[in-house]
Amino acid sequence: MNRPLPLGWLLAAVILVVVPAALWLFGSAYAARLAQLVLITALLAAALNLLIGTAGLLSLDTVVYYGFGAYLTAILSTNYGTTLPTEILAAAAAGALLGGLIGWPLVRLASIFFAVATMGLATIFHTTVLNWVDLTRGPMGYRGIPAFKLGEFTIDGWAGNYYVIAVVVLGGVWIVHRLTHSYYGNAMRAAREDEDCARAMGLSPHALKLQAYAVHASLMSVAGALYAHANNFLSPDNFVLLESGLTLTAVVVGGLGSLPGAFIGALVVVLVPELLRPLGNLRAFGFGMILFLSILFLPRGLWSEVSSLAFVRRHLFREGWLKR
Amino acid sequence: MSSLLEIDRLSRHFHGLRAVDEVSFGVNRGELVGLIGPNGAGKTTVFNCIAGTLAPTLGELRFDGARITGFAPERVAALGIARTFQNLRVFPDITVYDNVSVGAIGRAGVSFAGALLPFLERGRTRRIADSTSTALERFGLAAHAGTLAGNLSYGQKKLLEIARALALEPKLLLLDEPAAGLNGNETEALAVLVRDLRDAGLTILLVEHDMPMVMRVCDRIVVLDSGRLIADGAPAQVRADAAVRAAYLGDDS
Amino acid sequence: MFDSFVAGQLAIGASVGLTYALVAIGFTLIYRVLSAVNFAHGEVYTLGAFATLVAVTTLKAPPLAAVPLVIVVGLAAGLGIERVAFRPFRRFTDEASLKSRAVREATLLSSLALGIVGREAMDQVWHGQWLAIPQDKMLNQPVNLGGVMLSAGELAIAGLSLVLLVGLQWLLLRTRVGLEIRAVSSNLVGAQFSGIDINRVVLATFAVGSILGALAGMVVSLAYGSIQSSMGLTVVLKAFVAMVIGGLTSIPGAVVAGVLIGVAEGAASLWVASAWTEMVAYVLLIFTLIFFPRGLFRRRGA
Ligand SMILES: Nc1ncnc2c1ncn2[C@@H]1O[C@H](COP(=O)(O)OP(=O)(O)OP(=O)(O)O)[C@@H](O)[C@H]1O
Ligand SMILES: [Mg+2]
Repeated sequence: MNRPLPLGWLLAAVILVVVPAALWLFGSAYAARLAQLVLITALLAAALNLLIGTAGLLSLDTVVYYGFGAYLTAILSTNYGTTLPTEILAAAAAGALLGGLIGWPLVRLASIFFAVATMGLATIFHTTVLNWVDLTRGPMGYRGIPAFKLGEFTIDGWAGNYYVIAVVVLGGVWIVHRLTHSYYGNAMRAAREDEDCARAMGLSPHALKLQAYAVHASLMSVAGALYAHANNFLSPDNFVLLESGLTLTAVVVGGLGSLPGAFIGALVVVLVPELLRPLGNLRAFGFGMILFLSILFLPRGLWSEVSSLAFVRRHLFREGWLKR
Repeated sequence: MSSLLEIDRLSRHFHGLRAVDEVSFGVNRGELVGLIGPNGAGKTTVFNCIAGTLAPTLGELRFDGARITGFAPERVAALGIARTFQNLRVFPDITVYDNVSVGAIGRAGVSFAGALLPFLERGRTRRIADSTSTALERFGLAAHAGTLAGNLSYGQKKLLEIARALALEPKLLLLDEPAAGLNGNETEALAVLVRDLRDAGLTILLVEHDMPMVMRVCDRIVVLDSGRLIADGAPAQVRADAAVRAAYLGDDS
Repeated sequence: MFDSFVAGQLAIGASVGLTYALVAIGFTLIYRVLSAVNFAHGEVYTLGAFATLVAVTTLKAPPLAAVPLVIVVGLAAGLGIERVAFRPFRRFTDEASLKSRAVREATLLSSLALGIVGREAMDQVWHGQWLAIPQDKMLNQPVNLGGVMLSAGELAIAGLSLVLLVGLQWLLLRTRVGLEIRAVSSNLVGAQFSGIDINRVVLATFAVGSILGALAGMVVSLAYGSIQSSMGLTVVLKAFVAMVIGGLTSIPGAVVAGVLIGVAEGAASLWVASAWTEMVAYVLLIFTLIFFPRGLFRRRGA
């Protein structure tokens, strides 16, 4: 059975070939950094998309799991010299566990209550990171995080970093893609649309939402692990509520429930503020504006769930994968 | 004939209001039973108690010989009871195909691992796809598979709800006023369809206000009034029943 | 034994809590009418504080003479937010689309975005600095209340809160506008049939809520003297928490919860370093929601 995913291959080709080639030909260290940041943001947006777009849980806690994975990795690699696979697995597992524990009571909450509770989590996390100086080195930030290591081999230079990040991000996005474009995703959408009705159809919305929440936490934690190495430096300022807003903006701009949208959204929220940089520190202003304008003028985002689903489904139907 | 569903002195109170008051009746395997009564008689409440949406205040429910009183809705559904809702409850923002697949998913189940690694669950996936397509075709919805459910006409949404319930491949189907809001032709088609389902061996409990339809399709009719059971018998028998006439006349005047 | 220090901390906590309550009322009013959250509300509070600063420095007015300016600024901000972030999503006025999930989420995000934009714009104007109200204009005279030392500002906060709460009750219960606000919030369709202009009521709600928010910003700046463009953010988050703990739709619930949060913060400051007290409100929130998933004081049928 050959599953046609031309879009997926296209995306992989752009990320693994076209962008590195362009960076190599015309790029600078600065451009390479931005490219890495776009990829990491895309993974965050894809994970948040799973939660908001598919499971219908409007959440503002991106920074909690993102920051958790980042600090976990910083601590592991600085103190224990861990290598990449260990770190990714540790971030994924610990993120899922933390998400599962926190999500258990949280995902029962009705929409607005859930949103506020996640906002609270973000603030609790920031306060903790800022003040638990023994663990996180507090407001001074965590400096000198070593580079990625694979076995004995230390990865340095932008190309190595870029490829590590690209591969992990593509893997994470592939997971979200599988979850959302499958019957499992349909079950989550049903739980999102009408919980009681979904139960009458034999589904357990709580279990589905909890799984979505834990997966999103796990992926964000992995994104954090990447960020810790890519940036070499973590500061509590990277994990304030506003940064959750940034990911939310990427999701909204790209389109709720759409994965190509996650990349497009990440591109917009990372690059547009960079373009505004000459005008002063307008980053937050920039993405606030983007969020506002896109809600007003692009209520379905640049690439909405419906169009992306229709796209994939057209192909699946054509290949007879869903019929048979 | 053996009973598939047994309702034994079922009561459900709301703040002192006895919406359902010691109601007992059974539904035999393969039977199409009508549950009728004036507005507010307690029909939907009986449905909600069976389906687990509401917990009964008193009384017992047995399905297939086992007690199901107070079970959670998803557990009841997994045992093989599917329902439709009086007020339309389609999932408006997903497609018709996806709506129907939800019923099939409820039957076959899905898992996280299976979603990630499709080869683990190829059989399941195929089953879901099969029952979804079957249900879509049976209700003439295959042509609309890719439409968002919210964009269907009212009559199509009603059919979609039944299709979704059937994709659960239930042993017992609970239909709450499927003909409400349909025009004459649609009601006629629905009557034929419901009768076909029954002839194919499905057990159905039907709540409906359209009397001609109920009288025509049902094998047996149970009548509620103000939460109490006032008649239980063949259509002709119920039609002639004095208590039933009184209940309906009292309601209409 | 009466410990005046402990009592003082709790009293200060209560007065801070009342400012959360004032901000939360604006939230709650809007939520009751539209089932939507106005995340830009905190910026109204900040604007109230800046308006006070302008009044007492540039205009050299005595502190309480700032009131009219603050009211005008709050009013303008509230109406502006409604017009820009809420009205565009209210193309239809039937209940289903007014309170649909899509509209609720869209306005939540649009007001969140507008809040960020407003905050950052103020940040650009005032360069993110802490600005100070001149000492002589502050309400910082010490007041001895039976052994508990408070500042005049803290008392002013409490006094103003009580006055505004009573005023609000009077407005809601005794005036035509209040009647209409209540009618719309309890039964939108019915209100429409009885000829109430929904848009007008929504505007009135935003006006009232925003004036309260701006006045809260005014007293806090007069009491504590420092003003910054992001000051609204923390307060608005706590007010939001108060509204949620209070059950979303209950004004007394929001007030009680606001004071509860303030007092809990005051109490916590006795035990833990002040940096950690930021968390108190959220820990309280999460525990409340675990045990009361819909808040403490949910109105029947709401
Ligand atoms: N959740 C509830 N809370 C309070 N009262 C309820 C609830 N559900 C139903 N009732 C009351 O119980 C009684 C029976 O309602 P039910 O919906 O079962 O009637 P019904 O026979 O289905 O009527 P209809 O033909 O109008 O659908 C009514 O008086 C109704 O107001
Ligand atoms: Mg009914």
